[in-house]
Amino acid sequence: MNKRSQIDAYDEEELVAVIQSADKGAFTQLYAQFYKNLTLTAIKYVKDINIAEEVVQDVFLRLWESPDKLRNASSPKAYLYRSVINTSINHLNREKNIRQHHQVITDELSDSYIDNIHEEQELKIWIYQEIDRLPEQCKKVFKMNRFDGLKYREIAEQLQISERTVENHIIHALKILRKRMLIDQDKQVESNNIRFRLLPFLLLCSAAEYYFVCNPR
Amino acid sequence: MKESFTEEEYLRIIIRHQDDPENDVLQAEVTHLRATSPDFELLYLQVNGIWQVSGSAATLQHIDSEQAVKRFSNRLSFTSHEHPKSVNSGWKWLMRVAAILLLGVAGYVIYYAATNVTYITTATQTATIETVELPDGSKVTLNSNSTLRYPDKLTGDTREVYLLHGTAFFDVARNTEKPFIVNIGNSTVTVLGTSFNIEVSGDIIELNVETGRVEFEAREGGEKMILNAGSGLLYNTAQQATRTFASANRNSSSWLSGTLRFKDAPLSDVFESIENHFGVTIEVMLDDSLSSYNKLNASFDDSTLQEVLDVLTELYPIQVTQQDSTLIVRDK
Repeated sequence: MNKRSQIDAYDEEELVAVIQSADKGAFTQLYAQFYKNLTLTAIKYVKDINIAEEVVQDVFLRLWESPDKLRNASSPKAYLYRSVINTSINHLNREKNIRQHHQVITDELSDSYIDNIHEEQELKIWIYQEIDRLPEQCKKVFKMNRFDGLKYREIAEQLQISERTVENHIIHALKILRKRMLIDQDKQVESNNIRFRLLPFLLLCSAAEYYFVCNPR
Repeated sequence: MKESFTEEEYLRIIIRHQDDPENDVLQAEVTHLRATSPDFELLYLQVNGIWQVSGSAATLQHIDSEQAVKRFSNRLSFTSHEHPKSVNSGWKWLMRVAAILLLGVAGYVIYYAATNVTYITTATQTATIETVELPDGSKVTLNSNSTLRYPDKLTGDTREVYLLHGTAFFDVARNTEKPFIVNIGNSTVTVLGTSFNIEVSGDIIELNVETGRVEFEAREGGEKMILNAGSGLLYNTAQQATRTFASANRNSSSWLSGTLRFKDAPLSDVFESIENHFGVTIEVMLDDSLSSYNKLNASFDDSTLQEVLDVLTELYPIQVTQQDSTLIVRDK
């Protein structure tokens, strides 16, 4: 049932091999695998989906042109995230939008920070897929609230249902999502997949520093 | 005593607090409950985490990997790959290599410039309208807050553009050899030469055909629908549901022409057109249903909202009051 993206399925050596192989098909495949995670990461900084896509494209094209860039990186995954963040920040620099805050972050792109960024995007993708699997009406209500930012009262008016019913749908959605997350977590622990850290990361996002971790701007 | 709270009741307080974070009573209640047991604290953190992350996952609605991969693969096919070279000494050898490389580069640059398609993204801000002219003479007029992605050259068998969001009016130059294709997410609109309006907002695509004939394909490999002049279509990308309608009274491209035209239009259509055209919300608080009123025949050229309302209040037993961008319609 684990429908997370397949980035973690690549091991490091495979990644390096693909990048240095000069095989366009395999390289495009790699782009497809990383696209969502990296674009979500770029959006955090540039706040625009089209610019974010261009940032990710540029990073991959530069890597294609000179795969040697990987040589000094601790891992290809970290290299990709780091390049995307740096390119995004460069873009903002060009736009003269930079804030002091960003400079600090550039200096502090530690491996553990990159891991957090990665977990954060994995979690978004996971939740997005799971929301899509909620029962029809429940999904509709939950999306209207979380995606469109509507208040319960507004949802109740639009759908001609009571506010209490809207609340019930929201509670139901949260219960289902939480249950699936716990089940998924147990499975990963059983199979000793230490890379699966969604639950702890979720708690991190939930804690006070959420805005720093998830929204550096 | 608080221990007697069921999980359901506890969750209800949490989600009420999230819907109304300013409410100090709820805030205090949540803080208190969290402190009563470690289980409640953990449950709160998990639920709140899911809450926060689902909010930021909304971006994924607009991320279309399939299209992105297509665009990437297009760019990749024009990019060279640096192969590791064996190190050699000797100037003659180097000069030769340099000469070959230079020739190659020159040839490549010429080839690249002639065939490489770069995509241009035009995005309009609030209260601006912009017209983009494509190399084939087709014109796309973008309403405010709209984004169009189009190639700088039209090579290949088709003319393809991407309407990423917003509203655009297309006036397509006739070329039966090369169909003109507008991509909207997974849906496509294909034409040979005609004019039509597309509005993309959230999950809804609205298409109105002004002249000619248009082919709509909800998703790749899906059923194709033919629309003629004067007809329109609504497509919900989330539910994959399609509805067609006669579009004569919808005034979908009035934002461009400044003209609102009504022919035997029910008041519901009239209000909808006014809402779209002037960017206002109309709240109807009439005793009778809108369909019980006479149909409207009228044409407004570059009229102000007030002028239109004056005419309506003259013709119908209604009064209209305005609060910011909301109009309230009541019985006179």
